[in-house]
Amino acid sequence: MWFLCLALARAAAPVGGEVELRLAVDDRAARRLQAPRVQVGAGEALPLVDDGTAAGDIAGDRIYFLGRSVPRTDPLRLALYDGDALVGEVQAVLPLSGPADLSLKTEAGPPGVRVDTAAPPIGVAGEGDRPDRLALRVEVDDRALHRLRSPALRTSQTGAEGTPLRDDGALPGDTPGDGVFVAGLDVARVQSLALEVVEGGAAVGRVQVFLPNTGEAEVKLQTVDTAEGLALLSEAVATGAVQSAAATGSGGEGGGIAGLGHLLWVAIAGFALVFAQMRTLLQHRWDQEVAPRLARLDRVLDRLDPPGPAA
Amino acid sequence: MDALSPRAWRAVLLLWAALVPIVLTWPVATDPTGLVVGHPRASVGAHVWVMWWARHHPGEWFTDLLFFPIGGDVVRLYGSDVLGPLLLGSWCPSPVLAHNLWAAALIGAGVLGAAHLARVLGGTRGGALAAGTAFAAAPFFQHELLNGTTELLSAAALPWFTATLLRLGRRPRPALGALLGAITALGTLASAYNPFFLLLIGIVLRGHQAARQPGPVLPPAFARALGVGVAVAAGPIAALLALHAAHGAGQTLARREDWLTQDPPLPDSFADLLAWVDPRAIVLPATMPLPGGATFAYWTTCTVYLGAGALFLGLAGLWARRRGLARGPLEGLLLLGAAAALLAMGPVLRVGGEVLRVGGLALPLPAPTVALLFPPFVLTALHAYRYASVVVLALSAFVGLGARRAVWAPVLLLEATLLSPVPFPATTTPAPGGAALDALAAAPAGAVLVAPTVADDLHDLGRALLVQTVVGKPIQDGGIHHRAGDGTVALFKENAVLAGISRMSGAALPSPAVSRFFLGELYGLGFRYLLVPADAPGLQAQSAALLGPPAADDGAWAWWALPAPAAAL
Repeated sequence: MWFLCLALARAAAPVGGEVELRLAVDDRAARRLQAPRVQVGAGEALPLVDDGTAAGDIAGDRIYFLGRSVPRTDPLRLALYDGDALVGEVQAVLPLSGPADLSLKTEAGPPGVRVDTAAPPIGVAGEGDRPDRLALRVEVDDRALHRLRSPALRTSQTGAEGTPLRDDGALPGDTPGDGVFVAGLDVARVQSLALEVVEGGAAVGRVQVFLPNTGEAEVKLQTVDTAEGLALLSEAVATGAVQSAAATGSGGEGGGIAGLGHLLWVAIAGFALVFAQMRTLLQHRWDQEVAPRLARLDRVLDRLDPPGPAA
Repeated sequence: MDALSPRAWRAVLLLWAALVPIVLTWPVATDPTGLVVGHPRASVGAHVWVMWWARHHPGEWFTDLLFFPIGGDVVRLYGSDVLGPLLLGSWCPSPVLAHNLWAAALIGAGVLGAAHLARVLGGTRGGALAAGTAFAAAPFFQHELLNGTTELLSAAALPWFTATLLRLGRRPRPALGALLGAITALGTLASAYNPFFLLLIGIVLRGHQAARQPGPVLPPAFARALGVGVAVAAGPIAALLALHAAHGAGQTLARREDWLTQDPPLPDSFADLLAWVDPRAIVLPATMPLPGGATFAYWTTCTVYLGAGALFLGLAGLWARRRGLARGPLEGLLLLGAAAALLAMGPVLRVGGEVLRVGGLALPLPAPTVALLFPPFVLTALHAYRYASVVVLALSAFVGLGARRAVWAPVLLLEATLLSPVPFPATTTPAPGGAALDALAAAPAGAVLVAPTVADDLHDLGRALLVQTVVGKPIQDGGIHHRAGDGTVALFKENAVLAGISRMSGAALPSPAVSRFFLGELYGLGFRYLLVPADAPGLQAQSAALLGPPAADDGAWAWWALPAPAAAL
């Protein structure tokens, strides 16, 4: 029945429009990719990146990412290339709504690439194992002033050259050439982080952002024509799930003793109910059974040994 | 009082139920269309706005009047009280008057309900008047009046429900069951909190009664009457549930699931143990620390102080059974008050503002356990102190038994006005108006950028919403941002002008070059006007420097017509 419902739902789902595709290709085992590109449907082949700019990506770990809006087709056909050489092709079924996350894994032999059903969620890769890490997406809006050409983002946790801020549409949600530059960072979880935008080695501006207690966050900056050069457009906004209090060592007061509290209150409520019911039953039994017999016994005793006059 | 005929007694009761709201909302009675009862920085404006929306845009559940151009979901933002906008907002020509009338009606209904409950429990007529006063004039409800949260004033349904439930327990009849169902339906339509309160009352009182008497928990006659009540309530409640389910109730539930990890906790997320007997005047706003040393002014705080007079008479009422009054319901009400107080105190026990620790461990209260066993509870857990309304209910019932003479009613009202932590006369908000707003209302269609409207600051928001009831044009904000949803507030994170005038620490326009670009973007989205109040002189000066002299300025508000992007750039 469920399969029938799903089939009906799928049949009723519109095909057309665009879908936000988040693609990860794991090449750690096969190690066969040098310049990976992926062709979606009949479109042009798009480059995959492993430079740490995508949310959740660790630079150079041989897991390549692509985020892009692509035409919705059912099924979605993807061809993976390394340079101009075809590595393999896969077909994937898209979800009925929302973004499509697809994890692939390269193979040393044929078919070259396959869908990796055991991969962790894209963008939060390994989050559960890394409570000390945060995938931070940074956007720098330069639409008003047009001051940036090939900027980079520096933090105390990145090298001197920083992470490139891109406006080529390679990162999820980015519109190429719109003047909004994007970078994805994988940073150690800290309360606040200084972000510095550099252009041609010179600092454009620097802001301090406070990071939320999540696995993913997004912060938006803008270039300004004041001495600061850079301003915070919006604070770092959590885009992932809140880390548990136990994992982060902070949070609710109830966290550590919640189990004991539940036990205590369930026990109190249970005892109260049982005690009240037992008391009622005992009272009822006393009134209905014991008290009448005692009264009868009293009367019998009175008859046998009538109380004498008070002394 | 006992010598009065039934008709005279009812007249006295009704007069008292009319007088109490007039006193508690004073001076609103002097200008009910020009003054709104409630603090200008609390959520008064939002409640007046819903009344206006119900008359001018009924059924427009998703409207671009708020959060223009994306729009906001009215049910999701302000759907807690459906009854008030339906009964009053939909026809009353003045939304300010509608809000004031609704607040007064709820206070009056509370007086009558608590008086009725006291009589059902065996109190005297004088005691009933005192009970009605102790309930409706409780500092807790006075503070909710100040907050503007009529959905809490609609706890007036609680004493009616309790009295009917007790009567049903004594003499189960279908008519009483139907009445119980009708009260439940009306109470639920009037507040999203009421179903939780009613459930608590029902479970505790029936559970207590069942534990006290042998036999089935629901005797057949009681079950039949209850069935009639369920049949009466099912239709309206099902419709309401469907409405909320279709308008983001699931997201609200999911959003509130992190209530235990809020750090720091919201000032109104718990009741301190000492706060129940602390008569000190409220301090507004409560200051919340933010990361980086910044602070946030939180205006909708709470008062759970029970009142010295009510506590004294309530304690006297505890001994009422000596006068031959029924013991069972009083024990049940005592249990109900204790259970509600425990829930109102939040997840852990706090004393004097600090978490009480024993051996380094915080003392857990039952709220997290209730949330575990009954997950929908988290919808109310974020503002757990609101369960104090059930504590006030239980206390007022005991007041009705402890006070025998009617003189206690004015004494309690006097105490509520003069010795309450909540200021008297009631804090009011002037309804906006003036030549500039009238001119803006008459201007060609287009959305209005109201500056400053600091994000998530109720003060600015309430004022902006009140202004919209005058000018009738869409505005850029419309509610608490995390409640509205990410998509709704996306523009605030993308447009530097919008971000600038919404900034918590010093709203301001960006530099002229940046402002021109982003104002052009806003023009492209449909914004045509920039409206700035006189109490933001810095923003008015920036606006004048950027856009020239205002199109209208009446000393209270000034507004500018935004130039088309070509002209701006």
